[in-house]
Amino acid sequence: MPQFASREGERRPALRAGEDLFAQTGQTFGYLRHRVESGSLTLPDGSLETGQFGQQALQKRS
Amino acid sequence: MSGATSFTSLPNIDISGLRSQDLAERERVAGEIGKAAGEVGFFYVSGAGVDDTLFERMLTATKQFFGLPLEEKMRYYIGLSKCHRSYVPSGEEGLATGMPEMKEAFDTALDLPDNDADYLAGNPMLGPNTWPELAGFAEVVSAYYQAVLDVGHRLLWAFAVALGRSRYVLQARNQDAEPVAPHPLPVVAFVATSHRVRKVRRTLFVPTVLQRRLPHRGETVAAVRLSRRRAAARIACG
Repeated sequence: MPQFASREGERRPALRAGEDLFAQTGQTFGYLRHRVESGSLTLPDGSLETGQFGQQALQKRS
Repeated sequence: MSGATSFTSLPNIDISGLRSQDLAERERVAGEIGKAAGEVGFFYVSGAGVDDTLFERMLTATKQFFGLPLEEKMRYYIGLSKCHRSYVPSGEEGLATGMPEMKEAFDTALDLPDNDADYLAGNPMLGPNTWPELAGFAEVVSAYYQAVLDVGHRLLWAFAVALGRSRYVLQARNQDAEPVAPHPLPVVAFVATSHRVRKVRRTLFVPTVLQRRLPHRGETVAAVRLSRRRAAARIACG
């Protein structure tokens, strides 16, 4: 949405809530990580890694 | 969001007005939510309308389940599920590196029939719940889930209104209707750009926002629905 797009000075890629939660879930459950590693489960294209939001992520980047 | 202010306490918003028949009252609460979300980024919610007795009954049932021996609980291990349901043992959840989480959990989501097309197609998140053989467990957990889901729907409506979108936002339940031009509307954008509300979203509900055409009116409206795909609500931690 335009009111959120530019003011933070940094563009973030658009996310779909459901897809992002799936990507996060796939990376934070042991049994799903095994499925991803073995190739039997594929995360959505453009999935973010874990820990991309929040203060810790901001501090890590700066 | 750009309107963030410094703060020393979190707003506590009584959302009982979201259940009002009076649109102006519902919009008033939505305005409060929008203000708190924009200025502080976090807020408490009271007056959610979830019956305390129901919560207590759910808690009793879950304590009963988590009190079972591990080998009994592992009969319902989430890794045996084709759609991410049921028992999460200690150490299952966590990042790939570092300490795993020690909590145990029982995951449920929208309870779809076992002939659901997405489930049959192998979707890793959609399908029927798996329930332990524990008298009354499925009933009370389902009732609590529904109550919390209803709160989630009301909050989604409020977020959409607060973001200045159409007040005719739908909370469509019709899962089979074809969306018209999927479009990242209010809540998705809100979540994506304001990480401060992300945790709220993840523990309560998972919104997917679409544009949908009203067949009887021929007009396109913003439609909010709970994502069937990942509407996993963590019901309890042992």
